[in-house]
Amino acid sequence: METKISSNALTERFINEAEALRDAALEGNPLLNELRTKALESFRKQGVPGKKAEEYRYIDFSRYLHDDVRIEASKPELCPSIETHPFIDASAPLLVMVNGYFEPSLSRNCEGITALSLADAIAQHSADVFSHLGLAAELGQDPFVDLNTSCFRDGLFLKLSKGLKAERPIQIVQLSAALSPLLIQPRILILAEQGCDADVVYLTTAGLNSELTFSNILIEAHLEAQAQLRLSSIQQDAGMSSVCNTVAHVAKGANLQHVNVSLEGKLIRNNLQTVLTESGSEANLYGYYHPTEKSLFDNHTLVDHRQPHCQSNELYKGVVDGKATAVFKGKIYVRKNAQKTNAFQSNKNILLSAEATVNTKPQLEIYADDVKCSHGSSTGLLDSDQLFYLRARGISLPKAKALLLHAYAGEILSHVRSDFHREALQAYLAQRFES
Amino acid sequence: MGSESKVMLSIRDLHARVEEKEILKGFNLDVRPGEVHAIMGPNGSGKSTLASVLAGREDYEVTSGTVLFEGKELLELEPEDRAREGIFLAFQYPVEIPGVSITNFLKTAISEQREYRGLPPMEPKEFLQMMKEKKAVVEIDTNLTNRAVNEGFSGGEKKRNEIFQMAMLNPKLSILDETDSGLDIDALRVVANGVTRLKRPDNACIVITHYQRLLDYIVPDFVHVMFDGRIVKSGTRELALELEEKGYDWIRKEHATA
Repeated sequence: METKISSNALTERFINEAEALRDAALEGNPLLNELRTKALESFRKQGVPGKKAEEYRYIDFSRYLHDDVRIEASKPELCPSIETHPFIDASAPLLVMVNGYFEPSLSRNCEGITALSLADAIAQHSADVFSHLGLAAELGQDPFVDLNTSCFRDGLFLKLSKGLKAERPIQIVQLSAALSPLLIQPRILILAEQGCDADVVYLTTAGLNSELTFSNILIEAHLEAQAQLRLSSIQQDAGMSSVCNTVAHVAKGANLQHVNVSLEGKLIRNNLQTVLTESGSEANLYGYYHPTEKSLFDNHTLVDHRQPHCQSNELYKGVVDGKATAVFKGKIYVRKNAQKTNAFQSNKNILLSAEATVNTKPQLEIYADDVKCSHGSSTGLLDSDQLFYLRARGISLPKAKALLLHAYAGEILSHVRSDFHREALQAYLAQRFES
Repeated sequence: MGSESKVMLSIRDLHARVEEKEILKGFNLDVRPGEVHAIMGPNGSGKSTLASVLAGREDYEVTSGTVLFEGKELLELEPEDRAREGIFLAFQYPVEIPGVSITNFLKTAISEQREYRGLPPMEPKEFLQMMKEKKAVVEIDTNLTNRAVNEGFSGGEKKRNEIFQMAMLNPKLSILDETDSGLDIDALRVVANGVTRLKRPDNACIVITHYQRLLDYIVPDFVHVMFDGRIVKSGTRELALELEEKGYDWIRKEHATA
């Protein structure tokens, strides 16, 4: 029988490797070195979540982290090809990252967009970077945030300039390439300046031997006043094991729309944290997840209402098939002075197999007294009356199921504003629903 | 019913139950092309169960009896195959299906039915033309068909939508399950006119109703009175008028001991 490495041993190894990486880079930017050192100390306290870690209680990391996994330490020599992909619009801006390194050679249509490797941005846009890097993704909250911050090698810096109206969706594609087990740590910093309006599509898809990689992704998004950012994340890589932390700060009058679509992967854990930092800000969060076989898709969301007159609305829907497990934990946190908050949350699940599992847990923590908050969750089968109605019109059972599932998922997909990506997702799901 | 034309639907000694309760207790009926049969009866006599059993709803268990539809064993067919063979049930309580537009729903239904019958797919232009024509039959608002199936429809709109689907699917045998329930007199007239206009010598209709008023518009060839799971009296339209006048009590009294 295969022996499994313990979370303690992994923690020890990651600390050693992270220290070595930090020391090798010590001649670099002092601000960065300071941040990394703090992050490493913080990671040392938390470590890789073990069996007793409440926030990761459904994940046994020894199943997803190979015994001989190493933190990725150099740019990959192999570049996977993504010439054609159903979720990539060839005519829209495309930014490609391989193992977390920004690859300008694979990127295209980027005229008018400020996008550069995070390493270059640290040198060239130091003020912009250091006034935001690590600010939203606070240390000491999540071990994966700490680990990423302690030793990310590169990443992407995307600046949506003041007043920018992006007509095409900006696509960021994350690929992995590995010859041996690797922990990769992609990091994206999005600065949505005042009054900008843009769609960003973040696609994680299969690269080379993605079953060998574990992705520890960290996305920080800063929405300045009146910024409108629609960020859609599509996760579609059957070999993938990943933890993806997304932290967004939403300022006065700004509006974040986040659509998370988890389609394929062995382990997908999303921590989505939205902080409404100033009054009049708004967040709309939508999620669709569809694990099958033995996959585990685990969505944790936190909406932090810090100021009065903010709105949040959250709808996550899942279809759970095979022996798969879906987890949804949604927390709404309304701070004491966040009066006149409107916060709504709903989670719905359809089980397609008797062996599928759903764990859903809404959590409201409300310290203000003049708020409107609600939450609800449901888990069930496809509606038998609806199925019968469709069949009574001559529609076969598989087709009837597909129609109902399509409608069910459509409620989420309709929020993907980019026609190309929404239609591509619908076509992909139509095929899955009918098989 | 000594007609020479071939029997379309033949129900013989049908027994069915839901959970442990027997509801149909030896039901018999023959329906020929071109005929309209009204099935009346007090609440709980088994009228809607009959409709559900014929359409293939799984909540009901047929314990004995046979149903032949154009010579085929109907009870052995899946609900979708019954529809594809030409049976249409207008539901008493049409369900709402959010997210599925009526247009998409009917397009799918028609293409599946045509495929079953070995017909080529319908041209989109032809489909749209048919939609337009059939909407006129039930005086349905154009915008209604862009909406999700029955979602937020009024009672009258739901029933109109049922008859609209019937018009689009062009069934051989339509079963209207209390289509008149919950309709005001104007909606009733529209629905009934729709049904009447769809009548042809080669199709047939079973109208299940509690009240005679629908039969002022859809004139039946035969009226059957159902009680305690079977037909206890058959006649012509005059029987419906008699029921209207005398109520169902005399039927109950006549058969209470049976």
